[in-house]
Amino acid sequence: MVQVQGILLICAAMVASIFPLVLDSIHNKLQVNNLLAALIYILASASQGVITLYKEKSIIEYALYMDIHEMSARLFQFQVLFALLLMPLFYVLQGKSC
Amino acid sequence: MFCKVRVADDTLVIIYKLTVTSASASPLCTLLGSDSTSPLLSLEEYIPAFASSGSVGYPMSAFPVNAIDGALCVVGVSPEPARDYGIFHTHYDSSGANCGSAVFVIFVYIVSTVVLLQAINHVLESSGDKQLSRCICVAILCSFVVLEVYDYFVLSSDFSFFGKSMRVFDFISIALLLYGIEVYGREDQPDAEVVTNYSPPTTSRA
Repeated sequence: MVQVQGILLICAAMVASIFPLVLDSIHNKLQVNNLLAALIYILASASQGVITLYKEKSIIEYALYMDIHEMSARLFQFQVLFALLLMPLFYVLQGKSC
Repeated sequence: MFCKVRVADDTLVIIYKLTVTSASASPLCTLLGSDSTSPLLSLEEYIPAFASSGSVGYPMSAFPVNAIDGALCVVGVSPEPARDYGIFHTHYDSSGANCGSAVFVIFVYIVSTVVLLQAINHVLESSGDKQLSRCICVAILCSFVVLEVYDYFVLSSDFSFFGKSMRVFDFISIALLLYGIEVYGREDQPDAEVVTNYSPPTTSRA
């Protein structure tokens, strides 16, 4: 299938972009942070894609009539709430301290 | 997208700079950048997991002050170096805050978001999957170029191709990515019927 080939090529692009960071982190331990940041960035993008697919799957599966603007507003509210709850964690993950 | 994964560190710097200059545009962003020495309500007193990690904790007492600072910064008022609102204290270094340009940055952000959404909407309505993938290719290439230009003029002073900033792997990656998107968009995807049409209830009481 053509789509699968395209996805494999895109995955190869991701690997090619991370590869120098892996080499750097092998030579220099201080560069591990860059590799970690890149991996977290990719995982965050991937999770966002999976969540979007799940949202579309849910919409198709349940097939309920809905106001699309209200759904967007609700999702935005949940995002803000989630960010508020996770904020202390972000603060600590930045390496900041009192 | 995936094209600038290598510069995730640089990208994070860009995002960090944008959030800090823009405002500490929202109170939330300001909160993330805050420091406090006041142990009044810090989370380490309430959550043992934070207390066990030594000095790491969350300066909850600085929350109101930083929220006020952030809200004022949105309208262009830079925070004073030393502030003390009653029992609430904050001690983060606000000397680098540049709130005068916060309104401009927020305005540009909103305008660019609206333009982007309009462009996506236009492409989705007027063309098929093949054109959409071409547009994604162009967008990724543009963002790649723009980030490199930003890297050249703002981030790194000693720019050289295949040197410190840009490497041959970036070009391999971007070429693979563009070709992959091109291959992905060769065949039209089957249309999925999504029922999202909502007809509001009629309020006729006659």
